[in-house]
Parts: sequence; structure tokens; C-alpha cells
Amino acid sequence: MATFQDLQDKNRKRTKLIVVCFVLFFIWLGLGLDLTLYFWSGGTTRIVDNFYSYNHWTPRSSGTGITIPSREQKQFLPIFTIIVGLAGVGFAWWGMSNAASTVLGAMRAKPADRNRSLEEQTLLNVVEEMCIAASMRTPKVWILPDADPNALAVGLTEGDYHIAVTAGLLGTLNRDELQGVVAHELAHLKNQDTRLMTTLTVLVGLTALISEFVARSRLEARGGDRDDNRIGTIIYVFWLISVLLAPFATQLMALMVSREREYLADASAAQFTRNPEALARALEKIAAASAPTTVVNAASAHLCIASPTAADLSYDAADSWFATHPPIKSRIYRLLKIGKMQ
Amino acid sequence: MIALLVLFGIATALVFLFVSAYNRLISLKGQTDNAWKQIDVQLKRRHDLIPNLTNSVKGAMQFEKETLESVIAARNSAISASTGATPATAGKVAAAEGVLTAALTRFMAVVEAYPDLKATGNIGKLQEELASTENKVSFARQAYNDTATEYNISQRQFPTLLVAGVAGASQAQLWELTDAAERAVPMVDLAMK
Repeated sequence: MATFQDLQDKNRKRTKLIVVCFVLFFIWLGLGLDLTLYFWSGGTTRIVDNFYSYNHWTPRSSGTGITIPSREQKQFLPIFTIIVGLAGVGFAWWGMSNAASTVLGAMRAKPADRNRSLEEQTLLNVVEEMCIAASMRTPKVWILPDADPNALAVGLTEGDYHIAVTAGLLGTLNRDELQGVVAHELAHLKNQDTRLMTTLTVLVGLTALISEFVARSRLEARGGDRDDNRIGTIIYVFWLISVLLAPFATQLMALMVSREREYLADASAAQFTRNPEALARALEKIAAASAPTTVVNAASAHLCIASPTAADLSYDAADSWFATHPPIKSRIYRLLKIGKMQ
Repeated sequence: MIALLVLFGIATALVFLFVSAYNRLISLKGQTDNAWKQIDVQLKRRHDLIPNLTNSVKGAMQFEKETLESVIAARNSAISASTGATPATAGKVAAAEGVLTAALTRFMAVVEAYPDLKATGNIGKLQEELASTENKVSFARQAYNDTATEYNISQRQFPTLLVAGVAGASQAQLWELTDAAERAVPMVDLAMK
């Protein structure tokens, strides 16, 4: 029987692995360039930057560009490896230290207030109750201005944990169902799923940004040794393909990790509340109100309790490689099975 | 030479086994104590909330003096039972708190019967607070029982069994539940896919 400790260790390891992969990706980003430049260094190399001319390739040898002058002798200079590698470390560090506030800020979240309404008082009480059941510290609680019922958790370290629920969720669910949803989110925090998922969210976004930038620039070789030019071109093409495919790979990775975690969080929620039926009912209600959650963008979709896009939420949706969540139907089925075991 | 190395390896493995077993037991003991303190904290919260509640309904509930008084009496005996309580005396505290829970349930049922009382916003918020406090007490109890059970079981399991004496471990008393429905503990395997 896996304990929370095991899950935490696994997630911590995975988070580290992802960060390492991200930094390695950046080093490759620089190294590929350096290698290409090295093999092309007999002649001249132009970096043609199409970044400002959106959506169309400018004709060859026009457009804003930097010409790297030909060098006399071949010499490997790992300039880009160092610069881009350091930038990768910097990005990873910056992204992770600002992750929670960035994600929440983008959703226009506002802190829940005990005195504003009975609903918010209930929410805060429910969070406190579930924290006692889960033996953990109370996270910060936020309300998202959206009529569609949904909830999410973000945070990397205990003390910087956040739970956000939409205004629609408070209006849709009763106390027991809300308890189930909150327990599900706390389970994500306790398992350190959020640590992994938040890291992924930030890094997926950054990779996409880099790839988009690279897609709009290209290198050209002029003159120099033919064979070397060919090797350089092969490296360059390989480099270009890997950079362009990276965002899809990271996205797919995020999706796979995310789907697997949902069942676990549901099971843990059942353990905390001893009321799996309530969470099952909550999921049913969330699926029934399948208006899309508009405040949540695609990059944060896997943080939510149920997919924010309406199509994935339909009760009969099949398990798919591109879904952030397993089908609601099979989640409900598993919860009811846990209920029968009691 | 090889035999010596093998012996040394076995000895190291044994030491590692014992140390990790010892640490596990100590950590569980700490968690159990902590979970026990949590119940205490929540019980105190509940005791503090009751005067607020009774004061705000006193005027409207002239006829139900008996109910009010039984709540106050139950609260006072619960407070005296919980002073200086340890996991070993869990049974005594549980009994006193059980009486208080029953009195509060009766009290809330009576409040439900007074529509005027329910109409004032203050009572709605107090009811929510009371409901939450009841939940907090029972979840703290649940968390205590879960950790205490794990602690108790590990004392009888190998290899923690061997170091239980050194670690000063003793069986923690569980918080007995009077409600049969509450007694059922679901076993949830977190590894279930």
C-alpha cells in the first residue's frame, strides 16, 4: 500500500527530473547553435531573424539579420551553450519562484473572505476541516470570478500552497460535495502533485515561447568547406526539429502525468472525507454544467479538478491522449467502488 | 577476506535496518502525539463557541431552558474531562465529549424548530460555525485514529517490533466511536490506478 510519503518522494524526483530536462534542453539549444556555427565557420553565417515579420517567410537574404564573420581557423566556441544554458537555469528558477502568483494572477483570483458571505465562510471552514483530516497546514484560499464550477490547486512548497475555486462552484455544490472537491485539491497538494504540475505549467509555457521564437528565425551558410557545411546543416536541421517538437513533447508529458494523478487524488479525497459518494455527486454536477471555465487558459488546464473545456467534460468522453483529465464517468465509477468497499 | 567483507556487509545492513525502523517508530509516535493535540485544539474551540451560541439564542428560547442547560452542563463536564488528558485517557474524554455532542445535536434540532430564530443572519453563521466545529472535531479524531492505528500496527510488525522497547513505544488508545456508521474505516490504496 503506497503511502503519502512514497507519492511525495516520487513526485519530488519527477519534479527534479523535469527541471533537469528543461535545463538540458536549454543547453542543447545553445550547443546545437555552437556546433552548427563551428562546422559552418569556414565561410559566413547569417542569422536571419523573421521574428518581426509575422506569419510569412521573408525572401532569402533579406530581412533583418546578423552576419557572423568568417573565422580563419576552426575553433569551437561554446558561447551560446553558456549563455542559453544560464538563461535556462535563470528561467527555471524565476518561473518556479513566481509560479503560484503568476498562475493565480492570470485568472483574476481574489482572496476568500469569511465576512463577505455565508458561502465563503463555509468554504473557508471546509478547507480548515479537510486540512485537519489530512494533517496539513491551511493553504490560502481564492475565489475565481467564473460561473462555471471548477477548482484548482497551485503551489510548490508547504507555506506557499493555494486553492482556488470558482464562484460557480460555491453556488452549485452543497457542503458535503464542496468538502469532496476541497479534499481532492488538498490531496494534490499533499501528494506534491501540484509541485510537479505547477513546474510543468511554467516550463511548458516557456518552452512554447522559445520554440515560437526559433521558428521565426533561421541560419544560412555561405561558402566554406562543403562536407563540413553538410554536417553543420544536418546538426542544424536536427536541432530545429527538436526545438520545434519540444512544446508538444512537454505538453504530452504534462497531460499524461495529469491524468494519472486525478484518480489518486480522488482516492485520497475519499480517504479524508470518508464520503466518496459526495465527491462523485460533485463531479457529476461539474460535468453537467459543462460551460467552459473561461478564466482558466490551456496552460493551466491540468491544474483543475475537471477539464475547463466543455468538450472533454461530456459524460461519455473517451480517454484520450490529449485530454488533461480521465473521463468523468470512470472517475465516478471508481469513487462509487471505493464507497462500496466501506 | 571475502567472508569478512560479507560479514561486514550484513552487519551494516542490519544496523541500517534497525536505525530506519527506530526512526520510523519515533516519527509515528510524534505524529500520534501531534494528532492527539489537534483533537484537543478542536475540542477547546468547540467549548469556546458554545457560550456564544447559547447567549445569542437565550432570549428566543425561553421555553427550552432545559435544552440550553443540558448543553452548558455537558460543556462544563467535557472541559473538566479534557484538562490534562493524554492518549492513554482518551476513553474518558471521548465519553464526556459524546454527551456534549448529543446535547448539541438536540439543541440544533430545537433551533431548527424556531423559524424566527433561523431568520436572523447571525444564527445562520453560528450554525455554520457549529457544524464546522463538529466536523473539525470528528476529522481530528479520524486523523488521530488513523495515525494511532498505524503506530500501533507498526509496533507489532517486523522489524519495528524489535526496536519498540528501545524507542519507548506503547500502544495508543483509539478514540472509541459510538456510531456504528462512523466506525467503518475505508481502506484506500493510494497506488490504485
